[in-house]
Amino acid sequence: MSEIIRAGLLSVDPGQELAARALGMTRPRILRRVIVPQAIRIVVPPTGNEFITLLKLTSLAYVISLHELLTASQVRGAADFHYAEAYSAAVIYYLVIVSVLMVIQAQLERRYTWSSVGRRRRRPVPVVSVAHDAR
Amino acid sequence: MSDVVLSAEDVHKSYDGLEVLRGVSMEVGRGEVKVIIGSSGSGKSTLLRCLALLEPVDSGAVFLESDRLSDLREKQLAAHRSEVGMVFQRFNLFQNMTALGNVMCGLVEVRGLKKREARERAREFLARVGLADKADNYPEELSGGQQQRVRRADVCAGRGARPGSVGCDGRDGT
Repeated sequence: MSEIIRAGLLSVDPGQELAARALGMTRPRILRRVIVPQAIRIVVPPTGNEFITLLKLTSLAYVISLHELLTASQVRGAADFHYAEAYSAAVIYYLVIVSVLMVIQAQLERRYTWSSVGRRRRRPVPVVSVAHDAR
Repeated sequence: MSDVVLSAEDVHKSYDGLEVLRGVSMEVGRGEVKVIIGSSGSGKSTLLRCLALLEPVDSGAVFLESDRLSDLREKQLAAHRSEVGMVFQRFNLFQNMTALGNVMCGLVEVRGLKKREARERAREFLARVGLADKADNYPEELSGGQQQRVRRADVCAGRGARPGSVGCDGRDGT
């Protein structure tokens, strides 16, 4: 996560800071008005990725005998051998949570798109989407 | 002889042992236009950066009117930088703001104008450079020449009635 933020901050063109300094802006202002808003655009997609991965990995919490969603449905299914129904319910829960996260991410991305509304879709952000799923 | 607005006195500047400026002295009078010509890498941009107070000089001094500015520290410098306008080679408009926002930014953040006044003023200067209809476009939607005009509007709006000077880096295509 900290690496994602670092990459975002580093990705902002140094010319932007130079221009802000030339205007006479002070450092905190340059950060707040120029650097951070531009870094957010880069940071949002991989962060969304991270959150969704994190959600999916909660199912591993059964290892420390935490009663999370997947374990709950397993136990429920074992009660009367209706596994399909129990797991389907779990699927729906996961789907809803992931969808909500995706919608939030999409809205954040739209908020930090800098082209006038309805004119042109923005260019894809030049960031390699990091596959953290290799776990 | 017009009175001198911006001047440099025996300015030296080197980067990593490479001597770029060796004792440059120059004066720019009020209303005067100075052109700096030189081959690539001869230090034109470096000189402009020093004049705009973006780079500390190694020795010598930069004066704005009669204030010796090159001795000031970073914190005090910020306020004086706004007196010297700068159009960069690659314009460096803020990518996260519209053309209007770019012109307003200096007025609101540095000069402390109210948002409404700043907006009016910014619109007026955008209209002067013929970009009134592009006020709500973001820099990536503007051509190079249009971006340059936005930057000029920005610099001029910041100057206004106040004294100051403008440095333009790079070829002026228009």
